[in-house]
Amino acid sequence: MASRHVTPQRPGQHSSLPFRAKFTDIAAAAGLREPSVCGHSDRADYVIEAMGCGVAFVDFDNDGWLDVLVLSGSRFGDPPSTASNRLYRNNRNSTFTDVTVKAGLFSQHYSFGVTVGDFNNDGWEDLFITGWPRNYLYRNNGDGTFTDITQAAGLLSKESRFGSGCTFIDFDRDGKLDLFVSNYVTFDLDAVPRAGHSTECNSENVFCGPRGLPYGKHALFRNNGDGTFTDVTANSGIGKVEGGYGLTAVAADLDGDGWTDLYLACDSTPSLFFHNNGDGTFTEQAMERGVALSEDGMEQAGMGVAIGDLHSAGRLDIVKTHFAADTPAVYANNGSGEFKDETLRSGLGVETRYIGWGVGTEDLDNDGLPEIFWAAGGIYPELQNNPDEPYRVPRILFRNLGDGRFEELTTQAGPAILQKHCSRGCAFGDFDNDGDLDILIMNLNEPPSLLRNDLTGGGHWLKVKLTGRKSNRSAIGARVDVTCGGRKQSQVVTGQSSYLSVNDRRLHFGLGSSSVADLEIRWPSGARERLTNVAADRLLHITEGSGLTRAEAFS
Amino acid sequence: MWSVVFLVLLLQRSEPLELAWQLAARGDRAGAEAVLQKLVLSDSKNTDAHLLYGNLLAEDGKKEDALAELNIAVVQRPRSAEAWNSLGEICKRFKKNREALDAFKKAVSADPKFGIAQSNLAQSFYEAGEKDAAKEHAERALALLGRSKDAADAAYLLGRIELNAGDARKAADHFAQAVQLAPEYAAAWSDLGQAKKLALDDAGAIAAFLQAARIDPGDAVAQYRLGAEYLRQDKPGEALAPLETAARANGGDQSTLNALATAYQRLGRVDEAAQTRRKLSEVIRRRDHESQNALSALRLNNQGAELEKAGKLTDALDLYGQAVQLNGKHAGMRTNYAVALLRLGRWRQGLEELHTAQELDPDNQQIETALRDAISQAPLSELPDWARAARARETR
Repeated sequence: MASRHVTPQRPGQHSSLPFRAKFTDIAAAAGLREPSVCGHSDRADYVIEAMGCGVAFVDFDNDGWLDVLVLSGSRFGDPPSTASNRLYRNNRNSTFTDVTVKAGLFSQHYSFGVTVGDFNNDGWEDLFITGWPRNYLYRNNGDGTFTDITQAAGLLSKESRFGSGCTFIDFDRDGKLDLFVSNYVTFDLDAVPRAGHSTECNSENVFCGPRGLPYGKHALFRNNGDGTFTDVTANSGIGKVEGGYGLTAVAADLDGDGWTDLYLACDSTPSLFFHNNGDGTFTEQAMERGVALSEDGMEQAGMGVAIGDLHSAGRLDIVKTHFAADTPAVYANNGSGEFKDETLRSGLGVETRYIGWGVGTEDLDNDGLPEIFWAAGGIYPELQNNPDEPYRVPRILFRNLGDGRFEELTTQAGPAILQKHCSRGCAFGDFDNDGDLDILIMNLNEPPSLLRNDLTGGGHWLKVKLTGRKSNRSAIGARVDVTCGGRKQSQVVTGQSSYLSVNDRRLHFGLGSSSVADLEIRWPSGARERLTNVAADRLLHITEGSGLTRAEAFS
Repeated sequence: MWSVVFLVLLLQRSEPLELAWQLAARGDRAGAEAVLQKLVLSDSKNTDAHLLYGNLLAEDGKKEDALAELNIAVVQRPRSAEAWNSLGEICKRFKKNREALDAFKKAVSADPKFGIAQSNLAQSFYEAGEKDAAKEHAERALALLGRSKDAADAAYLLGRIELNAGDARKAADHFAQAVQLAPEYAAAWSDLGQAKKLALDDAGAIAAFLQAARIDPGDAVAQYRLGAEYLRQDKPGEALAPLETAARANGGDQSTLNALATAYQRLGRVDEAAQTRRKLSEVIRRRDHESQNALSALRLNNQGAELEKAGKLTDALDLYGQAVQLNGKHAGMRTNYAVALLRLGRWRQGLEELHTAQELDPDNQQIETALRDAISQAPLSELPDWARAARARETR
């Protein structure tokens, strides 16, 4: 974690346009009550207690309603007996029931990242959760329970690991979800000074790392199709990279060649772009493609990543969050995977106050233009009373002005935006099936926040749920282009984004005043399908090779 | 700095002082220093001689001797703003920033209308992170110095303050004032370009960066900024020459290497792009490995401290030595190593290590005290030359 010490841009004249989405935190009323434990409230002894973790919107019981997974860490010395990842089943009435124990997901270790995907193509979403000292693969049994099959699947490491980013990805287009896993640092309890035991590691008597600690290594596992995986890190070229402090991993075809690439946000080291060569190998090309460093060539504290079409140009751009006293990065894609840093022009350079984590480029007001939202929070609880080290901070929201420029919203977007928490991962999804996007946020040593979007007078919308046949069933890596009102929007189904988190797999498109739209789907298998004149305000179920199988209007 | 000192001396100089001044003006510093050395010994109350001698010694990099002369001068003439200002400038030259700030405060207190001292004080406040005080004194300096070239420094500092506060437009106004007062002020042109860039004034940015690079073509930062701005404006052809110049001047600069690699890439010169990226990666990896070494050094240092506490000084020394090998730039670890050496009677090596520690952290009072104590306690035969001179100064 390091900062470039960038001076914020001065905000320009505010547009004064109304913003129709209002967010209210309903987590407590909804029954999301268990805190995610990450060290003590007033101190973090080691880096593993400060990095926090991800969340996921996942429909684990296939009832059409998003359930909620909230990861948790723990703490040294006196770990609370209730500290565990939590799975909450959606009761379909804006409340949830904690089903963690019943589902077999109660576990007491340090969790960091999650990816959701149907790795065995049985129709039920499985979970892979990274952590320290080990990672977990949970198979969804289809009856409301999960089974830890990490060892049987060949994914249990002999040594302890600080697993961080992870994403399911069908890199060889065989229709089976493979798995990419990043590791943050090589973390050895015996070798790392504990916070407070040395004032030299960091100047403020806080925990050491990541700088100074050995890099984490990244790994790729090929799905054998029989419930097991083979480590192909070396042969695939992933292992050629010396390492880096890897955090959020995103799988998407960013250069439009039909093969799913990997982008990995790295903390304090150059971020990595693994280009899929289409022959089972990857080549790291982040510097060539302009997504490794800041515009001035410096490493940034890459935490979270969002992939979205910020310019309505049918191209997948990247937004990456960083440390305080630095801006996030906006990398504009030229369509063939060459990126240009447009942070300054985008207007995001005005916001440098807080450490940014989970991030999304989502159309929150259904006007057809994706906003940029990120969760923020400090890293050193010991310094929370120091005004120069803000710890509990508001959420950050930038409205898309439609010309590649964004403006920050504060009071205009409802009370939950200004509420202060120390947050990490966030996920975007429509948990109440009302046609707008809500936001789930992980807070350190607090229960999560669930920001219900009460959108009034917003535009039309479409949701797209893809089911692969030749492609992986979860359609991770699939891209959907929606054209309406003379404008194109592109989105991709991801296995992880934000910060170590997973969004609603149903892609959500705001359509503004357009009541119909045309769609093109690019499946990971290479197949393409087109739908024209599709009526708005529906969830479209599209199955590879069969087109639109169902259009569901929410009541 | 010289102009102020000489102006004062010009009005007051005695015969040997005049000779020294003339020698210095002719570039014969050794001759001037010889005259002054005799003069301050024979006439120790000659404050002007101490002032000039201190300044000459400072130019020769003789920190302790220079500071000793200037400190004598301010003791003899405590109400002299010029003397305090001169001491401040020499402290600053030797990175004794806290002492420099104190000296400039005294200079301004002695004469609030001394514009250069106000400007120096503003700069010292700025470097100490006290932006409000820096702004206040820079504004006073600007008012006092009028339209002189010296005023350009104050205007430039005000620009830096506004730029740091995020007001690119106000910053640009101050930088523009600075270059109006001093048209060959390269740093001000360069920062004017930065301010214009942040204000999204593409043409203004390029124009300012071009001026900075023209005035000082060997300035790697100016060349980098020009090239990077061309690149940002999608003009890789124009970017290439300044970036190549910057890379020749400072081949290890990460920003330059990144921009140069990007320019090559966009121009289709893929081999050169790849070669430049390799250099960039090496720079980054080297620094990361240094960080990793620093943490390993910390661990060794801490283990050494535990051993020292347990009375195992020789074992501790070994670990302190390993820590210093891994992270030679850490003043604290070097001090631990030095103190252990001194405690084991290895005076000469311990003094050298402590001296290095002090150079690494010139503002550290504890190291300074430890060094002074060690010099006073060490056997004369174990003193290196610099330490002998220091002991002699103390005695004097």
